[in-house]
Amino acid sequence: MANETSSDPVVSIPLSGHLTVQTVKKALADINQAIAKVDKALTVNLKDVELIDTAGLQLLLYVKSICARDNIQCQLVEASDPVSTYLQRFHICTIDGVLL
Amino acid sequence: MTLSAGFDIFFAESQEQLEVMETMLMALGEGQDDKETLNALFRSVHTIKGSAGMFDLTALVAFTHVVENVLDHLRDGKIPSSSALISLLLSCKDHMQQLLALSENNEAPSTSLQEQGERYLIALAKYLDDTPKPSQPDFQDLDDDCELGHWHISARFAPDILLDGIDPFAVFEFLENDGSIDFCGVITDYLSSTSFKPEHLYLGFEIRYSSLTCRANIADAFSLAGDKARLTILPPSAPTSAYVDLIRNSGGASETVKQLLIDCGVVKAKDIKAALESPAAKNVQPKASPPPRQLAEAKTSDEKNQPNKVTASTGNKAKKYVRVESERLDHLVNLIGELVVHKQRVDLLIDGMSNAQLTEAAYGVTLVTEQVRDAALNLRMTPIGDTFTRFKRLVHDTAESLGKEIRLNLIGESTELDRTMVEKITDPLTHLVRNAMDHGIEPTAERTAAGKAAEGELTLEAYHDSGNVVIEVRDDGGGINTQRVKAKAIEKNIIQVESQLSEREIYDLLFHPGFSTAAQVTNLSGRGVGMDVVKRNIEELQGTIEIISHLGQGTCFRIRLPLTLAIIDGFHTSCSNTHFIVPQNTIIECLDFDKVDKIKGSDNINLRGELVPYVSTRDLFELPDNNDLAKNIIIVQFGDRKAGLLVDELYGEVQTVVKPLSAIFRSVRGIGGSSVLGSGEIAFILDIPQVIAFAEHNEKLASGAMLNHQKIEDSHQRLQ
Repeated sequence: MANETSSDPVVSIPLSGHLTVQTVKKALADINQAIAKVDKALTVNLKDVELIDTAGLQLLLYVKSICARDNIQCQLVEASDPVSTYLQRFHICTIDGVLL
Repeated sequence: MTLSAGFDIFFAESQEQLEVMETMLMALGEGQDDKETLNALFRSVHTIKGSAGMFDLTALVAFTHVVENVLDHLRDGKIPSSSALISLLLSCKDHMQQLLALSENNEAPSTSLQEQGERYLIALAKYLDDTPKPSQPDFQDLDDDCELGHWHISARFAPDILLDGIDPFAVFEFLENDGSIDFCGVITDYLSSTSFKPEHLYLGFEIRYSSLTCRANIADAFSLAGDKARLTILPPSAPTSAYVDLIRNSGGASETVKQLLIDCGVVKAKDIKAALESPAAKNVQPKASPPPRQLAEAKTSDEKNQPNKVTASTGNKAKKYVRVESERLDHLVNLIGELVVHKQRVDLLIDGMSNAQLTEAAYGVTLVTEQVRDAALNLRMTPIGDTFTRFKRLVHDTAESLGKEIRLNLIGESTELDRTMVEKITDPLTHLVRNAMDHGIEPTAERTAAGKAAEGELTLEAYHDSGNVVIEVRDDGGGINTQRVKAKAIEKNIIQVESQLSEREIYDLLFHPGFSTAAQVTNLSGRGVGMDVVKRNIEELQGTIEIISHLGQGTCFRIRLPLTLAIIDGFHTSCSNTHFIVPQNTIIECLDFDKVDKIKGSDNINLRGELVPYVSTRDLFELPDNNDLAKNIIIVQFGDRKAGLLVDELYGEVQTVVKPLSAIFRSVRGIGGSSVLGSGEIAFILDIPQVIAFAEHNEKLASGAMLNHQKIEDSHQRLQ
């Protein structure tokens, strides 16, 4: 699902496929590996996410919160249509918007 | 789900709600007029009306709407509770039940039923400010708490809800069927937990929802989440103080909640700030809402007195239930019965192979089969409490019509019994309860004159005893006058004048067809039909009924039933090459007949100082005498009665699938059913109460003391 694509100080991690309750455990493990190597900034690319649910949304929020705690800049970028639709459907937030 | 399946669920649920309505009305009648009871009563009617509206059952909706209005007045304290009102509402419940039954059969209400409904509506109108209009209401306008505008929903969920396959956003989507979500604020305060599990839900949601709806509809949308959702629903007209309460009750997330409320525009920052800093608000101790991880254990009792707060789990017990068609359950039990029989066949084959590994493996399968059997039978077990509760209404109505004061005590409501038994025991119990009220408990004046309390006491009690379920119907009435019973039996030519009967035998006369001592036939009982039917119904369930009575003090009808009729633990034995199964819970011990102390001149043995009658299985069933001497005696007990049963061989324990007897065996006394053994042979399941009665009877005949009883039996035969 996820591959590490760069090294310190900026790490980018793409997520792909389903980001749901069935897959979040694996996605979190991948993200944690990336965070362990990052110094300043983490970019999570959502371009290839085909499906997201509440567990997926929660994972993204969690990543942002632990990055904030560890003074790592976290960016969620290139939200795919399913992700954008999901988030905007209920006016939750937008990727790179204020709330998220 | 098909529309038909939806209908079925609606009818089943409405039936349950009607039962809740009746239970709550009875509780109200007993003076339990607390808010919880009134709310539960209102909710039951509200739910029926709402569901009926979905299926366009206009007659039911129109009638229920007026009942609901009266209950709303009652709940708000606008009208007082009274016995007249409760009686009227009970009648309305019956009317709703009739309308529901007609709807189920797709039939229109008859003219007389419509007129009856109109009469109830006129009676209900007296409790309302305005006269109800029994015309078809506009479904959209039915709910008096229906409001148009921006509702606010504060939703928290149990952490494991995602693992149950329920996504809160699916619930939100469902909400959008009746309105639109303008804003959904996500609370992330609990996310930074060090023990974060990605499959658990830590988020909370503050939702601004635009709709013309009512609180109950919103709560219904969350019913998908069952008791795993905790909601606070604030209507468009909610005052700022309600939002202040919401913030104050948000515990560690209160700042986030406050900010989200401001962000979504439901409150203004300055209003909230002023309200939070007001002296009144400062004096209120905040009730911290549990973080999500504690939600599963969170109690909802603090919500009872908060009108703006609704829990989606309202009406649900802590346990979760799945509704299953009873036929499916019966099919499962039948299949497990087949499994048990085939397993025994396999065991027999393995026994002849002397293969230790195979034997060990088979033993493992046996253990699991027994567990599967017990689990399946447990599925059919149901508490008798639901049946008992129905008698509250019966006692209430009967006492009213008899002009007696009677209090009903229910004990052991959680005692479980096979569902099929519960269904079949209801009618006999109903008759016994009516009988006790009509003939047992004396009129008030008579009781007072006898120095008794004016209020009669009727007790229904259930308990387990030696693998059986015992149900007692007790009253503190006048007791049974044995002399009157005997005189009546002589008058009706059931017994002869010179008959010498024990107390128990005299009581047994009450179960004789056509027997009645009632001086006056009432519309409740006293027609002499019923008690014999009661006994027959109980015997069909392999049970017994006995009477214990004390003149002037009261009477107890004690019914003893097996736990289940499907699969039992049995003991395999044989006599004259005929196989028998003795229900294991009736066996005390097995003894070598040669070594027991036999009493000369009678069919009794001395069992450690106790005289126990015995009967030969060969004699009992007139089996061929193949010159075998019975080698073993099985001591059985049912209730407080014991007997010995002489048999040839003892084979040991066996799981027994009970099969009904074919017609030709039904008249054979002493046999309660049949079963197929692992070898494919048929075994007869002994009816132990009848076997004991036969042994006692046999022993008396042997001692020449039972001649009169024989005459009773003969007269029974003549009458039949």
